Order: sequence, then structure tokens, then C-alpha cells
Amino acid sequence: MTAGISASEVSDTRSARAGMAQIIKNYRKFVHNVEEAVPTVLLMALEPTFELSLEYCPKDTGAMAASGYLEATDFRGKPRVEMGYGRGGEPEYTAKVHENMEYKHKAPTRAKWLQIALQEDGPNVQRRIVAALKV
Amino acid sequence: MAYQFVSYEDHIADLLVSKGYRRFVGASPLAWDITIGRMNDLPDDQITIYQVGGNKPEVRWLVDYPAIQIKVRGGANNFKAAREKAEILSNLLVGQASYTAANGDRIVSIGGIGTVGALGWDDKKRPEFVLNLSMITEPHPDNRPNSNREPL
Repeated sequence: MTAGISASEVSDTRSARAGMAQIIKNYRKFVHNVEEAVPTVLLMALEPTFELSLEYCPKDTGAMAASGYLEATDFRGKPRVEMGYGRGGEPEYTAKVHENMEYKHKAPTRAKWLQIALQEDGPNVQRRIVAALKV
Repeated sequence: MAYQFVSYEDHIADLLVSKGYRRFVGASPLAWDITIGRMNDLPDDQITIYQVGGNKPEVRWLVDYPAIQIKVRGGANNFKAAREKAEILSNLLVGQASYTAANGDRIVSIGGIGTVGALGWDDKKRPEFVLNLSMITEPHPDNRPNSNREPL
């Protein structure tokens, strides 16, 4: 007996701690693996959305479509994916064309090409993320 | 209620009218008059409301998720006033409490998509700003007489 605790109780406690340590180790490994996989999963999940936005993007000169980007970045240590057009104001008219509901575009190109693509494909993005993380 | 279709952009215009704004009257337009779907050349200071599309409507129930864009244009020397007007509109509309419109449509919520965005200037050097909104609505069944969907 040690301070009123039997030897078998001490053994049980040590065994439980060791078991818990293994669970914590496995959990940390799981979190690490998820963190490693998330940028790739997000890119994969958003790729069809980006393709849809490219389909809708007006292409008079091709400059706006060429300015489209989808890439994994890091924000305050957390993975983030960015998708957009006309980064850095190049071409400088991109935002104006995107937001101008009165320009006439040849179908299927249109104003709001990025917003519409995100709205149309948003639920599918969530499904693709969940499916990819399950694998 | 009798059939009375009102577009979502008109609902937003009606809401702004209830808050003191005015719809564009061609004979005597005033600064900050509201137009729907097309911005007129005059007056310089103008608010135009467009329907953009929005998220997929519910299939089973009469619930829609439209998106709205409001464009604000100021005079060539009125950048600050136009920017401020866009902000005021955002404050008036985003977070609006649920209400039933005169035609029976239920406007459940109005939210913002991003914040006020600057578009630069038009070809007459007039500053332009946009405000994008997302709505949740329950159209009155009398206003969608051919719909396969049911009211909640």
C-alpha cells in the first residue's frame, strides 16, 4: 500500500495514463494530418467552382480570364485558399466589369461571374470538402 | 390576397422609400433618387438597384435566396458624399428586421455580401460604389400561383 492506495490501483492509474497518452498522440497526429491535407482538399474542392467562373468570365481580350487565380495561402498560421480575378488591380477594369450589371456580355459570359459561380457551386464545394476529408 | 408580383429589387426600393428615399421620377428627378435595373445619366447622385441572381431556391418550400446589388453614383466632385451614401444604405438595409411587404411577401432577412466596394469613376468622372446584399424571402403563395412549391 502507498498512502492508502493499493499497488494494483497504482498500476491501473499508470496504465490509464499510458493509454491516454497514446490517444493524445494519435489525436495530435490526426490533427496534423488534417492540417496538412486541408489546403490540398480546399484547392480540389474549389477547382470546379473556379472552372465555372472562368466559363462565365467575359473574354473580350482574354486579360481578365488570364488574371484568374486559385491558390493556397496561409493566414495567421491557418491554411486558406484564395480565388479571384484582377489581383493588384490588373487589369484595372476587372472589378468594374464584374460589378456592372448593365454591360451586355455574350452568353455564357456575364457580370458577377465569380459571385454567381460561388453561389451556384457553393453547396457542392461543401460536399467535396467533406468527401475528401473522409478518405 | 390577390396576385401582386413584386420583384426583389422593388421590395428593396419600397423599403428604402419607407425610410425616406424617393423613386426616380423622370419629370423632376432629385439627387439620390432610386432607379431599378438601369442607372440614368441624370441626376449625377443616383441609387440603382439590380437583382443579381442569388443562391438556389428551396425546391419543396416557397423560400428564395435572392442577391441584390445597389450601385451608388455621386457627382464628379462628390466622392465623399457618394461613399457616405453607400455606407448609409448598408446600415439601413443590412440586418433589417423581418417584415411582411404590402403584397404579402415575407422578407425574412437582408444580409451583406462583403462591405461597400469602390468601382472607380465612370466616363464622366463620377465616383461609383456598390453594395451587395443577400436576402431570404418567403413569397406569398398568391404571388406565385403556378409554383410547385408550398408555403412554410
